[in-house]
This record gives sequence, structure tokens and C-alpha cells, in this order.
Amino acid sequence: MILKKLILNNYKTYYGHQELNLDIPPQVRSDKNKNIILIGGLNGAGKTTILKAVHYALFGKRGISEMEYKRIFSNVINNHFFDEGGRECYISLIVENDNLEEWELKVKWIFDHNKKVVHENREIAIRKPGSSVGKRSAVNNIDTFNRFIDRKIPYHVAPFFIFDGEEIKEIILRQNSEELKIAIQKLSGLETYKTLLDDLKETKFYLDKKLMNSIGSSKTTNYTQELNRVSIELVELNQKLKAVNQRKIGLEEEIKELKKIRAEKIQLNSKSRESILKKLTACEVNLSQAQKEFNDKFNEQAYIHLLTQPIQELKGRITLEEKERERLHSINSSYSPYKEFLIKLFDGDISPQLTESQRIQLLKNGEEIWNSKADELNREKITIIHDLNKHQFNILKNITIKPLSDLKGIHQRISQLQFDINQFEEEIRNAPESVDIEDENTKIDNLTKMLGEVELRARSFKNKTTALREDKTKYENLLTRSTSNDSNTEDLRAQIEQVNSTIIFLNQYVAEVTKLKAVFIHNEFKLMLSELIRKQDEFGRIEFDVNTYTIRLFNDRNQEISVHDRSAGEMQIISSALIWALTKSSKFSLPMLIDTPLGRLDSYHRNHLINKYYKELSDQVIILSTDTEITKDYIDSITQNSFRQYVLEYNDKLKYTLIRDGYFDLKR
Amino acid sequence: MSGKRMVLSAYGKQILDNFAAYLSMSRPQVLKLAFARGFTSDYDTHPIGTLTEKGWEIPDVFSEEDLLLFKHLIINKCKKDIDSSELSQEMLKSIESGLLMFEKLYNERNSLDDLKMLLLS
Repeated sequence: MILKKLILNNYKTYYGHQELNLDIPPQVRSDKNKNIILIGGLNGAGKTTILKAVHYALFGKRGISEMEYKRIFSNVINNHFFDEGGRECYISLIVENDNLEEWELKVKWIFDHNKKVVHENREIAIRKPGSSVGKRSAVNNIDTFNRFIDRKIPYHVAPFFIFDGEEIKEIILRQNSEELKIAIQKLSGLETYKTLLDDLKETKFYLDKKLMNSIGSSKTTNYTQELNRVSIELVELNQKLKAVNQRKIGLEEEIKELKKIRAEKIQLNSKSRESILKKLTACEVNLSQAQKEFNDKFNEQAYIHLLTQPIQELKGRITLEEKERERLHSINSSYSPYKEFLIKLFDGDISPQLTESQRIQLLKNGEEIWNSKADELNREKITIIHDLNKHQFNILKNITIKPLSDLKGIHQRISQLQFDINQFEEEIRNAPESVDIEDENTKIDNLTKMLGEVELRARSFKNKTTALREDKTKYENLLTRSTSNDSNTEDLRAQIEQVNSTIIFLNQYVAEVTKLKAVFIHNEFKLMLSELIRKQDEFGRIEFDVNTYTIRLFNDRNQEISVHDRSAGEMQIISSALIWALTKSSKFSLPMLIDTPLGRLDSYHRNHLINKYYKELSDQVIILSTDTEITKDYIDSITQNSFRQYVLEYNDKLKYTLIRDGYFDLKR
Repeated sequence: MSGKRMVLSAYGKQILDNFAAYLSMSRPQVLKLAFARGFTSDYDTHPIGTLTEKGWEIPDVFSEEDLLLFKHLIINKCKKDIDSSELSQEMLKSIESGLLMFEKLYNERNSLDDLKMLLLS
């Protein structure tokens, strides 16, 4: 769509019949690459009047409150004209649609002698391509008119093509609003598929109904009635379920919010004097326990630790000696049978009698022979220096040496506790008083209880829904079976089947296309922003969130930067980039009407907008500028791409504006 | 069991009392610790000979088990059985030596040192 002409007839500051020819022929757009119309005017000359006139011609009172309407439109008739006796004024906007059809949208106001609007009249004339005469009709029902306009240029999309340059940042600030999402969906054409889906559902409903009507038998009538009943119940139940779920979400949000507040308070509380005192006391108790434990263990174990080495040596030695003692004992025991044998032997009669020395010799020799059998005797002898009985041996043997790390561990704990105590002492001096979270606790408890009840209800609704769905399927199947022989119903069923598969296909298609659109918007947005913005390095990553339709900016360290924190100029640039992306992904060819687009921007961003943005933004870019914006450089760079130029000249004496062809006179 | 009485030098007694106070320990506990420290060091390097002035007769403060241990540690070190008078002399030497080492450690310690952990090192 392009705007072809705007006629301002005694409208506001424009006296008499004045026209702005805004048309740019297709060959000029494509061959000469001229897509800009430049309208210059000082403050108060009527630039914004033009913007608002176009908006009003298209969308009327939508978005304007009654108060605002009175303020803006009670004075739309030109003062000079009114003084001459004029009592009516009008605006007329001629637009050309993509199918080359022309619409003339005319709004006329009639005033009484008190300059009060007595009537507003809207007309629409549609001319087919090539025809000079159109069919003119009065708009009696504004809702119908709005629907009609919306099909071509959705109202929610207006902020993307008719806007004040300085207000454009609103697009970014209202990122999360529902209407913005709708606008994006409409602009990107996704809404059309939704309409198609609705139509298909309606068709299915119609076919279902037709199918039911074609089935005559009482049995099928019953099924039909049952099916109707179940369907109605299901719809009602779904509504209830939706409401309960919404309530659930609301409660969850409330609880979440309260918990957040409580957590903040607790965090504050954990630093309060009382809580630190508690920690300090606990620490002190632990410290005194640890100190006692350390002292007890030190008293009991310290000298043993110091004696570790000699004790181990002693243990080794006494063990060796004990073994030696046992060995000697066993040798002694082995002698006793030998000794007994010899005593008995010598007691017997021996002739001649043995002398005492012979006896001793025999005893000794025998002993040697006996001993030679025992290997033990050949071993090196160990001197027994420790005179220990069994009990004493056991005492020494069982002395336990605990590892020194035991004591060291406790000592470390003591140091840590002492450090902590010092810290707490310090903290107590700067700590705030404790806070009360009783209120939050009570509220959270109550809300959680309510949430439980709501969840219970939701679950019961869900169960009922499942049961009803099963019933519905059952009746649908019964109906299908009971009517399977009818050829007429066969056709209808085939049609229903087709509509069903189309709906499934379309749903899939919409899902895919949404994803693709989002990726496209994301890429275009990123591309344009990096072209336009000066602080290139600040945005490490730019994202267009597919799910929320919002823009998210990240710095080079991947931390999210708030869009709201950017300067007004930067927000304007970011919004411009979004408009670019949406325009490029749009199914509409939209004219752009921009009021003072460069007012707030620095020379760097101005240059970028002029040289990289407006030239490619759309087939028709109408720029309303003040003289301060229009410098020689600006005109030089825009001349190549601008097809028409107008100056709005305000006559101070006569107090009205005349539209003149040409640029501002550049005296500077 | 302890054999002959051991008489600690006056200087040794002074160190003993000081350490009992520094460490908040009883005298027998400090004596045991001093014995252990002295026994494990080469006490010939310490000027025990200077501690001639008799100060304090050590009462029967050690438990039987401790005495048994000390006696047999000394026997093991001397590598021969010893009589009670020798035992008392050796024990006293270790105790005096240990006390002197404690005093040295105390005087050389810095403000970060913990005395008890220092005695164990």
C-alpha cells in the first residue's frame, strides 16, 4: 500500500483546499530508486497535523479517548475560514492498495456558529484499477468500517508506519504488551493463518452439524443430542478450567512475590544483631568445648607423642625379649624328661661305682647330645634386660600412640572458631535490628492453602474433562458407525476428514512459519542495529525472543543489558531497527510516515539513518522534518532518493499554512 | 617403684612452676612432658651440671604405668638393667633437660606460635 494523496480542506492550520501529492510511481521507485517524500516545516507549521490527519482518516477514533477527541477535534476547522463564515472542513486520504485498487477515505466535520462540532461524517470511495469513478458510500457503521480497514492495514500495526520519531522508543518500552505482539503477528502475516484456522474450524462445525442433520434415525438423534450435550459441557468445563488455571497462576505469582519479599527480609535478618549474637554464642560454646577437648587430649597424649620413637623401639625390644624368654622356657621344659632319666639311671647299681667327676662328665656330654637336637640353641642369644612380668609386658605393649593430626585438627578448629568470634564481634557492632517475617509467613501459608484448594479443583475439572472427551469420542464413533451406510453422509465425512487434515497441516505450518519469521526478524534486526548503532562493541549479542516477541541485548561478556537503560537516542535507533525487521518480514507493503525522525539524534546516527535506513526501509517513506534537522549535508544525501519535496509555510499575518513545492531555503 | 627420691634443682622448679602456669597444667603433667622432651633429646648438650642448687623433692606423682614406661625406656636406652638409684638419676636428668628446653622454646617463640603446639614440634 502507498499513500497517494492527502487533501486538507480548511482543516486546522491549512486554509482552503490544499493537496499533498504523495504518489511515487512504481517505475520511479524501482528504476530511479526514489522512495522518499520530504516535507519540511517549522514548529507549528502543521507537520504533526499531517501525521494525525492520515492516522485519523485510516483509524478514526480508535485509541483516542473522548476527552482527547474533544481536545483535538473541536478545533479542526481553520480559524480564518471560520471567521469568513465557513462551517465545514474535511480531510481526504487516497491510498492505493497492493492490488492497485484506490480507496478514498474522507472525513468531514460540520460546525455550528459556536465553532462546536455538530456532525462528523465519514465516506469511503473505492475505485477499481484503471477506473476514474469509484463507488462512494457513507460509513454508517464505524465498526464495519474498522473491520474493513483492518483487513488491509491493521490498527495495531499503525505505530510501525505512522509515528513520531521521538515517540518511537515507545515501541521498545511497550515490548511486553499484548497489542504489540498482536501487531507483530499481524504485520508478519501470521494473523492471516489464524483467521484461516478460525474459518476452517467454522467449516468443520458446519459440516458436523450438516452431518448430524442428515442422520435421521432416533438412535442417531439420541447420539447427536448426547454429543451436543457433551460438547456444551466440555466447553463450559474448559472455561472453568481456564479460569481455575488463571487463578492458580495468579496465586503462584502472589506466593512467589511474597517469598521474594520474605527472602529479602530473611537476608536482612541473617545480618541482624540478634542472629549474629546467636551465632556468636554458639561459636563460643563450641570454642570452650574444643578447648576442653584439646586440653584433655594434650594432657593425656602430649608426652606419649614426644616419646613415640623410643616407645616403638621399646615395644620392639620387649617383644623380642618375650620371645626369647618363651624359647628358653621351652628348652628348659624339654630338658626335664632327660634329667629325670639320668637321675634314675645313676640311682641304679653300677659296678664299679662312678666317681662324681665321671657323673658330671656324663651329664654334660649327654646334655650336649640332647641339646644338639634342638636347632634353637644354635641361634644368637639375646640378653634379657627388661625384667617384666606378663602384666607389665602387656601394659607396655598396649600403649597406644594416637596420630598427632588428631590434636592438630582440634587446634585448627579452635583457631577457626576464634577467628569467627572476632568476625561476629565486628559484625554485631554494625548489625541492624532483626526484622519480623511473621506477616509474610501467615500470608504465604494462607495463599498456599488456597493454592492447594485451587489445584484440587483444577484436578477435578481435568478429570471431568477427560471423561467428557472420552464420551464425546464415544458418541462421535457411535454416530459414525450408525450412519456409515448413507452415501450423502459419506461425502460429508470425507469433507470433514479433509478439513481436519487441513487444520492439522495448517497448525504445523503456522508453527514452522512462526519460527522462521522470528529467525528472519531476529537476523534483520541484528543486521540493521549493527549498521546503525555507534557503540558497536557494547552489544555482544542481540536477540529477538521468538516466544515473547521481545528484544534482548547482551554485552560482550554475555550479561543482559536492560533496553530501558539505554539513552533516548539509542532506544530510537533500536526501535528503528525493530521496525526495519518487521517491515522486511511483513506481508504488507507499508508506507512510512515519520515525524521529526532525527530531532534527538547525533550526527553519527542521523547519517546512518539517512544513508543506510530510509533509502531501503519501504517503497514510500514520508519524512516530516524541521529546519534544524535539514542541513545541507542532509539534503545532499537525501536528494538522490527523494521524489517530491514540500515546504509547509506558515503565514504569520494570515495565520495559516500553505503547502509549497521545494526544499527549505538554506540560508546557513 | 620410683626408687630413690628425685630432687629437682631450684631453677628447674622455677621453670616447672612457670610452665604449669603458662600451660594451665598440673605439675605432674608438666613433669611427664619435660621427661619426654628431655629423654628424646641429647641432654648432654644442655648444661644440667649448672643446676646444682637443690630445690624441690619430687613427690610420688607418677602413676605406676608411667613409671614402668619411663623405667623401661631408660633401660632400653642404656641397653642394660639398672638399679633404682641410677633410674632416679636418669629420670631427673631427662626432666631437668626437658625443662631447660621448654624455657628455651618459650623464650624463642614468636607471637604467632601456640606454646602447646610448639612443645609438641
